[in-house]
Amino acid sequence: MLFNSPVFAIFLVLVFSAYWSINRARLSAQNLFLLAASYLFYGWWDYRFLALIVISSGVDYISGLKIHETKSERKKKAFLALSLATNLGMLLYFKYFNFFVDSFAEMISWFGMRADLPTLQVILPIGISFYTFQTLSYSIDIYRGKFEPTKDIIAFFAFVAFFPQLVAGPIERASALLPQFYQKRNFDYGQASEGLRRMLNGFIKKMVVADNLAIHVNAIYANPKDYNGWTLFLGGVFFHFQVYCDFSGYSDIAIGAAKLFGFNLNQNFHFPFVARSTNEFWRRNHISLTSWFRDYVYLPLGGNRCSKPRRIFNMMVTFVVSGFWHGASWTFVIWGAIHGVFGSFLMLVGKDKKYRTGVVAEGKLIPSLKEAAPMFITMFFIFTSIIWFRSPTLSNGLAFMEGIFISPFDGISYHQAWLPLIICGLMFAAEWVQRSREHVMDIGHLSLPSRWLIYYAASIALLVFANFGGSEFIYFNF
Amino acid sequence: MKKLILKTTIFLIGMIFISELLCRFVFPTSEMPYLYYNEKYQIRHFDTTLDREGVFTFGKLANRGGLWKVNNYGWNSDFDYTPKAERTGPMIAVMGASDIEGFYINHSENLWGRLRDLTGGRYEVANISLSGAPFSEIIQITRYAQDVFAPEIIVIKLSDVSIEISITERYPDRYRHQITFEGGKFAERPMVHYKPSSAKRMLRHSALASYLFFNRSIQMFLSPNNQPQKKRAATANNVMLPNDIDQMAAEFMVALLVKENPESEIVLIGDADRNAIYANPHSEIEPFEACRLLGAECGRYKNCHYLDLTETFQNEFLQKNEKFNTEFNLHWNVYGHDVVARALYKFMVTSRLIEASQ
Repeated sequence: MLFNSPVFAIFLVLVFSAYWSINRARLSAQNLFLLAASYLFYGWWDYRFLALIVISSGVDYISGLKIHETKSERKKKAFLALSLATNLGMLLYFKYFNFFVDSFAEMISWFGMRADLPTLQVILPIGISFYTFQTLSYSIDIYRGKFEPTKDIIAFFAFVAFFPQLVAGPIERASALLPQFYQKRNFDYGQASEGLRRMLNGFIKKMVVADNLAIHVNAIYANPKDYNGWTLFLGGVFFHFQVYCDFSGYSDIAIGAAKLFGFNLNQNFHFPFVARSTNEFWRRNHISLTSWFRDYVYLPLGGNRCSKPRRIFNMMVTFVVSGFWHGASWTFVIWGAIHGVFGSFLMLVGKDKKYRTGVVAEGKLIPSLKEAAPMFITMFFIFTSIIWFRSPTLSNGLAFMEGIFISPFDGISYHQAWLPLIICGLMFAAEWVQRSREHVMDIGHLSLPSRWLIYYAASIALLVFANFGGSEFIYFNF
Repeated sequence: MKKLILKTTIFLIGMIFISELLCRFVFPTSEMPYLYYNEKYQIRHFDTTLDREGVFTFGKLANRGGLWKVNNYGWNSDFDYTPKAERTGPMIAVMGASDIEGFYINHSENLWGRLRDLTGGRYEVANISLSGAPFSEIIQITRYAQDVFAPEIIVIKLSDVSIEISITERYPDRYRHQITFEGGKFAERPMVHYKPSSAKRMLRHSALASYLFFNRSIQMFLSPNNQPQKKRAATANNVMLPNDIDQMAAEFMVALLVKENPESEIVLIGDADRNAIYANPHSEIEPFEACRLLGAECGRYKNCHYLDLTETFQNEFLQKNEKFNTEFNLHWNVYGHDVVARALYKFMVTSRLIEASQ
């Protein structure tokens, strides 16, 4: 079920009404209802893949309990290994098997050999990269003694399958979300209205910005060899805005929908376009994934508490794996590696900790040159590296790089570039103005007439400019 | 909870009111004529008793299309048609789907308007087209045209889906006159009379509803399983058809068309794969398979003539590098209609169907 489909609107209204009609004294009934609704939400796409969620939830529920119960370190490790093998095994099978087979076949072809290896004809179960990471963190945290397992099986299964964030995050930690399933939830007007505002923000991002930019991005990426370097660079700019609005739009809808049910999910994006370094960018962009890789890959490798070469190694590994998480393709690996190289460079020159996540040019409408310069440098880097993220093949990505950096004057300009430029400009302006807040539609502090004026303007933008094609979210592919 | 419901309801009522005003005055929704089911001929055309003229707009920002007028016989035309008993000059009936129906541009710029100019006004060029009509339905409309007007020349525009959407088993649509494959052969299947519900009739008065329906095609969004590609996929999975079903359908339909219009000269014009031309104008462009099959069948009959537009569009594009359709979709623009009109006129003159104008 897509958030941007009429079915979801009906589903949300019905589930919302039924959920708050359930006797609030019986928390387990509310949780059971949420679980059923979440399975319906997921099963609407393909009910067969519900089995994977049930398996993942079941294995981690049992592993969590067993890891906590047992005193034997060997047994603890065995149950952790069971959780890792189940979740990563599913991920490897459905997402990466064909990639490894194809890469192996290609590699041996370099040596003049040929292998007709079987590949799988399976579709990627939506959301598998997200819920497996969520359940993995649960088992790992229990193993590390950071979190006590729950015995409430309904709450745990509902935590894994919680429909607002099931298919594309934010990847919630058990420590943040699971306790909310134990707490009594009462309807709160403030929280619900904030949820609706957040959802409106998400729908605007997805249906007005991302879907309209997609038309132009697809046109440029379809034939990169036709276009000059400036157009190809713009292709990267447009795609970055598209993917950001697509994914952060999803997160906003997820966070907003969760609020309607009395849950608070973590912030997943916080104005990444104003980042002044790539490190800051990753503290603002896809925050739940970045922190997941930090806690479960980067820090276990040694993090910052080791020699510089080792830190560089840790960073490279983390970014490459992170790139690979996004998709089973070398282009994602390259994209991750580029970020790793740039992050390592900042570390070498001692600038990696310069910018944290404070408000850029706080209290000012226009930043000083000193404030703006690192932002533009970071943006340039992000826009050019994202090209690898979007390119379907290595040759497509290389064609972009060649067009931008080697022969920038060959080719034609994209005749409609002004339109996506306006869209991106307006999007950036809105984010810049609201950068000290949680999100663009965070306007609860304004007067009632101002708020309603903005709601109406946003809703009319949705009516007029939204694409009603019901296009999928990009991150469903991951 | 009550507060939320109350505020949301007030907001939505306000939203509907503001949107209604916007769609009436700022982004003027497309005005559309009402359809009328002609029971005698089992076809649909426009209702001559309701709105007779309006402005067609398309897309999000309601780009201005053409001015439409419903004439005395319920077709989009700026002049009334003369029935066969009263007619003094020859008639060319131009038929097809939305491209020829011609809401996107003004009458004089349409294929039939241009053809009237090119023939020097010596022919009554009648537009007898309906949006979405498959080839099978056009055959049914020719029966009506033959009975009412008896045109000397019938021009029918073909598209890449002319055959596909004609076959019930491939693209089921009960509100269209289609052909159905039963017992190893084809038979015609008349359309079901579509009667809009009173709620739908009422919604037609709302500019907002019209905007969402006509300009934004929200019906695709509301019932995604009804989208053409999904419909095709669903039927393709469920129905076993012979491999040469398209060929068989082409034979059946063209034979029917020619047999029932022995006194008229028939000209089929096959649209070209314009996207392929834009992408690779120098390469050899294959004609659409449906057009090729229908065109080949047409060639078997003396009074049937086929004009394939591939070469015309390709040569024109190579010379001027100008597209033949709107940015919005593949409907011909003013230039596209003009190119086709000139090609058709030339074809009819060289085929001795009409005389060259002075």
